[in-house]
Amino acid sequence: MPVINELKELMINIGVEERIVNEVGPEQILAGHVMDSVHYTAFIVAIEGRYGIRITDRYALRLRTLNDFRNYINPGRK
Amino acid sequence: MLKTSVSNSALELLTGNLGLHPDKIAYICADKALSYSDLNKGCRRFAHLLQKQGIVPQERVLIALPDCLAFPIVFLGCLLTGGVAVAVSPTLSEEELALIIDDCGARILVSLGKPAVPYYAVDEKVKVIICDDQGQVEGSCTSVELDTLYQQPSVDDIAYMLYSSGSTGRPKGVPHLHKSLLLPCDLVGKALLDIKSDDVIFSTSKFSFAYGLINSLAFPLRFGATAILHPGKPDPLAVLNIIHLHGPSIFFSVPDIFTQIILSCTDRELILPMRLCCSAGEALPAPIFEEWQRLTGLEILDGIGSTEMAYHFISNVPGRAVAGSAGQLVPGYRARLVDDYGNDVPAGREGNLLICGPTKTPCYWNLPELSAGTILPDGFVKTGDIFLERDGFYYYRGRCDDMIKSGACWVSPFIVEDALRSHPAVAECAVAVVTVGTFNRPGAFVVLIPGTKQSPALAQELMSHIMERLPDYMCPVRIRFMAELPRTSTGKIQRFKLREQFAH
Repeated sequence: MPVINELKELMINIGVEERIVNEVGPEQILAGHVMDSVHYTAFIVAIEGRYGIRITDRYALRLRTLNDFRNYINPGRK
Repeated sequence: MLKTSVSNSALELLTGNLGLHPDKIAYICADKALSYSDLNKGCRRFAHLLQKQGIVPQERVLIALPDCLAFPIVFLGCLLTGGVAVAVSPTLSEEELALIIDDCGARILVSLGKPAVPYYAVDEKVKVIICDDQGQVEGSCTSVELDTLYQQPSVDDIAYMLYSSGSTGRPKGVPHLHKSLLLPCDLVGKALLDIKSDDVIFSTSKFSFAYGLINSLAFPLRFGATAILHPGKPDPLAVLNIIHLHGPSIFFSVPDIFTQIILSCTDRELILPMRLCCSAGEALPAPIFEEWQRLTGLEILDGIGSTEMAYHFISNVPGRAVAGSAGQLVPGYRARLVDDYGNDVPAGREGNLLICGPTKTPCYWNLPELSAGTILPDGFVKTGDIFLERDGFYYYRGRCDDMIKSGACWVSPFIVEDALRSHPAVAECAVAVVTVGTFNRPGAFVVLIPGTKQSPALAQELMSHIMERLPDYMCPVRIRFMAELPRTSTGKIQRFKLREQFAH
């Protein structure tokens, strides 16, 4: 499954409405439009668990879109 | 013996501006505005209405209003009569509202018609006054002379009361004297922030919080400035719209909102009109300070205060803010960092923060034991926070109790644990703080009933179970299954060990 779809699945799992998730584009800003800070935190935790990575504080402030997250998780993967 | 009289803080905040600039805008809320003259008239009208209801000095009036033009009118109107304004969030649950009504003994509740408070929580003995968002009450008089209303308080009269989350989950009332509305203006507003009449103030923290009350009520009126009110949820887009529309010169917010604005920014820089950005509610992590400065060129002045102390007692100052530090002691306050036995710790070592100053609460409402345990005979108040002091700057290091600050709101682990235990698969559980990115959130450790298999799907089910029962900020972002919880020899859960587990 492409990473973007995996990320969308994680978003649904943490409680973001499926209708909203389906409409999110890879370059769309997630804060405010799609996720509040509670969802955003849960999303980071879910990504860390799913991919076995650690997102540092500084990077957490620069991951704004699904593409940003995808590039952070695995720069070479689509 | 006659008690010494003091200034009525409402009168001081209102009348100072009338002679100077009666037509100046005091408050802006969406497309509506309130001049200083109209604010004064509105307060008199509301005070008169309360007097017609038979209000007596020191009687509590529960104000469950959002941040709209009605709030300062109702709050100050109540203070003018000598009543005690009890400001609570209009989004309280039925249970919380019923508890607070019972605790403060209010006979009068003020609310908007829409959205209304949950009236089924209101005892029939409580009269509900419905006002519109500009403080107008149907059938109330239009003009009242101030002389017939104004009550001069005694030195120990309570002016207002706010409710803070207790460690048991039961809200605790924190009363304040009239001086607690005025002194933060001198000690912080003037001395540190240099607020002037041409400032435009915008606080995302609401009136029902100590931080928001001083930011949006005391500061603008004390200095004859203008405040912008936002009744809705402070999501980053709404906040940025307000900033671009009204151009505030001082922005008060919390780390969560600063982070959300940073994350919603698409450009390499963000041009903002503010001269000052201030943060409180929870410690501001250094990465947020640095990223905000990189994007906007502005520093964020972090500070720490508490409901018990009415406002900040430690704060950074403009031009000298230090990333990751809550700042320096505000002149007028004294601080001690002590060990668990009350002995002062040396500089550079962590200690429990005790604070003493002129704005401290006289007691917790109806809680003599908690008051005696928190407000010490020497005048110092236990904050429950652990700090380290280096070169005069204070650095937050955590809590000495089990409370969690999540999104600038207190979360009692016991409430979250109760919600978790209501799931049939949970045998026992414990909740501790988990830090993710720059956010602090609740995390949960769960022991399942024998025969139940742990799985990611079950963790998800537990999360959904809690999300149906608690507000988002209380929901654990991480659930970890355990065979047993770490306990002391007396059976008490060792939460510090759980916090350590989340840190690894």
